[in-house]
Amino acid sequence: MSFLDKNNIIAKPGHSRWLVPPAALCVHLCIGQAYAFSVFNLPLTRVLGVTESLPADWELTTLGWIFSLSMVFLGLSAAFCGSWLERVGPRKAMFTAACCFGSGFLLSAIGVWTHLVWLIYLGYGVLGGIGLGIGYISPVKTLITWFPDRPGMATGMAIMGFGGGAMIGAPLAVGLMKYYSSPESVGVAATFVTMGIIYFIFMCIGATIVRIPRKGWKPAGFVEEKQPQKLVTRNHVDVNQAMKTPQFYLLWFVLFLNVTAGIGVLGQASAMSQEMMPGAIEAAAAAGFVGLLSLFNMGGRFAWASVSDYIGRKNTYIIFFVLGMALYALVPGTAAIGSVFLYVLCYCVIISMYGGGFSTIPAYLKDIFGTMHVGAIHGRLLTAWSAAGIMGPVLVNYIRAAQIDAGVDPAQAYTVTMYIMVGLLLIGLICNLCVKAVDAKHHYEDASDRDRGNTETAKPMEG
Amino acid sequence: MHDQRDENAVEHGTSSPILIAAAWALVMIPLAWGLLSTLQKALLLFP
Repeated sequence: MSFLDKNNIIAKPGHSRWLVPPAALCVHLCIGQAYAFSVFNLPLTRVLGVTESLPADWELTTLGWIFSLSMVFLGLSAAFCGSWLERVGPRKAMFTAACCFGSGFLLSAIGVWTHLVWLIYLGYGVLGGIGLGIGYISPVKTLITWFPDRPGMATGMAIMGFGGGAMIGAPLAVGLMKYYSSPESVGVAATFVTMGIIYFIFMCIGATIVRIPRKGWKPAGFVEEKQPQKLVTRNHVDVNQAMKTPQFYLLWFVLFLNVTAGIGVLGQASAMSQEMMPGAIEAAAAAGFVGLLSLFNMGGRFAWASVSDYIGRKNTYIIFFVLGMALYALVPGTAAIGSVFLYVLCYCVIISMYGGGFSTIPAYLKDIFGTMHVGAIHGRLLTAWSAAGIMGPVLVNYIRAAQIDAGVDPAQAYTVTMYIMVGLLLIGLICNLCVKAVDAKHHYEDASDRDRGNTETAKPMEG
Repeated sequence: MHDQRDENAVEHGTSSPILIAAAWALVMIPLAWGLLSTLQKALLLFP
């Protein structure tokens, strides 16, 4: 399979770097569909009954595991496949992701036809989750090496695609299910097959377009600053060595806390908005609120990561945490005065910073650890996402339930959660303030490794 | 910064602008469709 080999995707002189972000977007727009998986939940509870659930039909609680499994395998595959990705390059990784994600849909379709839920767990949950993880990290290092002058903007563009994927995936799935539905079928299986094929083709196009820069390539006119900023290194840190630095764990907590604060709200946005603003936000408006949040989630990924190229990553995260604390503290007040505009505005900014946290972290890692193993380090850091995916919703749901059990009015049941979020963000702020440059003892010893890009992988430092 | 952009523009000349436009259209058209669909839903928030 020489077509997939790393050596065959080195760009020829004059290749435009502006062809690389669309390649990354081809992958991220597809895998971002994961955020829209919930549109399948209700139809999947009526696979046998079609118009209504039969006792033999699947329960929502059973189906909830599909998304959870995919998120767990996203984190695991990103963590464990990062070093492999560094070795084989982005094309083989993107193609592998396409095979996993596409075949995950196909296997799930068989699961629906045969009404075997474990096939869907294995298909979308495990195979699809592995596709998500590999696909998510595959273009990150490539973009950073093509855009050394704007690494935040470059990774922001790709990771914005992950946010945008849900906006395409949700209406596409709804439209296809409508098209395939009949008096005998809810149309989910056929939709899975169609989407699996479409996403496989689209991701393969991305794998075909992607190129890595030749060794030592720099954008025309780009001159590295003689005196780099304090937190921007020109050295490199091996992925295993990075795990021994306090910076890795500080950044892990920075991402974990930023994601925890946002993901709980995202998961409960519809119900929470209706409960906190009774009478002002009804079901249809709540769906609009969720849509608006996904828009800001996507926009924030590009905007904040681009801003970080100018103000620095550490300062960007300081804004996330300080502004996040202020807004979370304000939310109960906006609900109390019944201002839908202020309530929505607070959450939109909060969610933009949630998205911004995802897209700024690769450039932060590049600043701290260099580009040599940034893809693998990013993969390992994404375990913070998996952990936050459990922590965030648990915090929001359980505290709300405890408050209601204690007799608190549903409109005020989220107030304590909001203040806990403020506390979490404060811890995140402290972690971020503690991030300093990596000690020189962790640096790669070979000075010639400074220019390493995607075309070569350095040997680990001994001792 | 201004000079840097100009020089980049010269370098980009060797990749076909049609190919670059096609690659961007390939991702932007579905994204725009998804964006429009989401915006229509979001408008329900402010009747």
